[in-house]
Amino acid sequence: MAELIYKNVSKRFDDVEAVRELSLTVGDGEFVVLLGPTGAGKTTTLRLAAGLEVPEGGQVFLGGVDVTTVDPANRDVAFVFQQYSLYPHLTVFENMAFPLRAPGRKTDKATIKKRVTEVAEMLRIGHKLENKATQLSGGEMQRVSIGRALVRQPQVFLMDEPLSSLDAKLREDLRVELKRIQHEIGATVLYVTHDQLEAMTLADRIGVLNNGVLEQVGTPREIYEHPATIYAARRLGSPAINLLKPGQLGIKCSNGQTEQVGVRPEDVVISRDGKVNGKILTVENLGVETVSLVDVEGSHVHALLDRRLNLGVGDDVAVTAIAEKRCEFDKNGNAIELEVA
Amino acid sequence: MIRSAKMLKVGESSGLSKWIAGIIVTFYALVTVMPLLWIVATSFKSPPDSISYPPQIVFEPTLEGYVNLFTERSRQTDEYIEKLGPPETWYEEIVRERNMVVTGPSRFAGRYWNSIFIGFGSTFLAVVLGTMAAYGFSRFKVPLKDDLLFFILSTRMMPPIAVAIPIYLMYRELGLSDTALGMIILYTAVNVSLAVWLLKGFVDEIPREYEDAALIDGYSRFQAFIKVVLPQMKAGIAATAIFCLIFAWNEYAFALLLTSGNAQTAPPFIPAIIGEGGLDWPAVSAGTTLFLLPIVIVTVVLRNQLLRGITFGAVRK
Repeated sequence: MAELIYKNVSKRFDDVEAVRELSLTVGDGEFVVLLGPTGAGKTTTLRLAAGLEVPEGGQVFLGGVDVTTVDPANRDVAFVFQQYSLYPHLTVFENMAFPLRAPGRKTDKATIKKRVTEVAEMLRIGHKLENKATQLSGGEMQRVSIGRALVRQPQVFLMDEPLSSLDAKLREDLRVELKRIQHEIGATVLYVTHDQLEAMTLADRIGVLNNGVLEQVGTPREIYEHPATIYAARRLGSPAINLLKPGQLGIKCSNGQTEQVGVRPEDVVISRDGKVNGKILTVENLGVETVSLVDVEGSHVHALLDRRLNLGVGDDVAVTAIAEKRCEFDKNGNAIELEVA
Repeated sequence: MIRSAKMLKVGESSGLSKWIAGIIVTFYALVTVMPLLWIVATSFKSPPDSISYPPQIVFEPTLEGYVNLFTERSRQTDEYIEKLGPPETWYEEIVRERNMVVTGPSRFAGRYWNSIFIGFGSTFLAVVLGTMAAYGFSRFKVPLKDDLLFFILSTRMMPPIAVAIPIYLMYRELGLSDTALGMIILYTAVNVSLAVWLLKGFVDEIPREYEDAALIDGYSRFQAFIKVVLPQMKAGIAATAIFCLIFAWNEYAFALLLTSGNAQTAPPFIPAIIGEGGLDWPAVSAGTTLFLLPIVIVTVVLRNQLLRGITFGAVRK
């Protein structure tokens, strides 16, 4: 395994700047997740590391070597595609053996058999090795696809939304498995997703991408608690962070530049007692928690409800916030450092 | 209100429409198959049976047509034939019944071989060139791609025979007249446009991610093309090859114009099989029957691929 470094990498497609001056280091054995919506440049960033795209500016280093213009075949990275991309004319075994049979990697038959069987067992698809790739379920296909990457023990694993086309239950299972395997083999992984839950659970560190720009890199907790921008604040957390005007919910701002104040739903306090200033609009019972949309002082605010309060739609309530947990943003959407009292 | 108990699902046809469809298909099959059956039947008739009126449905089969097709014969007097002694082979026996002797093999075998060589050769070339061109057009940024594709298609916009005279003159200058090479080049040139367009559709259907995956797995672009793209194009290549082969195999006008001896193919030769006192219909039919065989065999062998190939573009997997 090795370290992957992007240094001021830029890539454009005709008029679209897909990636702008991106710098990122994925440490040896680290699991980094790039989070962003469709079109944020996540996939392009991965393809740049794989060598499927060549950047206009900047450099890519793999294990300390500048690979910016090296062919994909000679980079020794593995790529897991969103749509599995299993070779339909080959069996599961042949699919997984395909990288080992590459001309540059002359692996003998016994080793191939041993490696493929090992990895297949680890991914629990050992009994499917003789099937055609097209005869598998979605979850099995994605396992094979991950297996094809694992057989090689490459320098870096690049994963492009590998779980997004699976159903929710399967996604959860594979997510746990993926994290376990990564731990087991100490793999360096750069993983792309638009699913914040995947990002939060899998990542050692998350990079938030917006329009080809890396807005913030940090541990999931850092980004959740101290987002660098409004954009980063809104990418994590479900329901999303509440953005309020200074002074609302009794939050006083220390700084005159503050344009917006962010308060996470769990930091909004709702009670029956106190000065009534809001009305409950909706109540969503999600099992673990109950999410409510409350109309407060002309704004709509998401809050977590205490189930014991037994509140319903239309109830008048008192709404306040835990002021210390707030984030403040200036007019450009950048976070303002709060003085900790 | 009581509704009819038997409801039809969407897309399911009723008994009546199935019957009608069946009758139409059967009728169509009869119309198209009858002439073929008649040709095959005629090839096993004797010359008098073949032109008898009313036509004979039941007849005594003979291989005379095939013998006449493959041999040159001459008519001899009874005394001459008697002097020869008993016939040595089964086909001489057939020939002698008509007071004739075999003087040598006919040119049919050579013409037939020409057809096979030129037909399959040009098909092979058209498909190989077409596959590579289609892959290039589908995957790479080619300058003026749309114009080039239109240009390639435009060679199909007139009947090839419209340029017969320029081609005839060109071929005469280049020494390509009446050569197998010339005919292969000509048929390849006509077919390659069809091949490029058909195959480009098939390549477009194959997601690029397969090649990306192969590139990352350690293969070069050409190796990825051979190992990953080609196997998935099998159906398309089979369908394209059959279309090309059928054109090259059946082509008559250029073959008549540009070949006379060496490189003549079967189509202009078969109608020229003249027997004693007019056309020898059984021999012509025998030639036609043999001529049909390769296409039938190739189509049957490739039929699974062909069906997949024809529906490939229309149905998302």
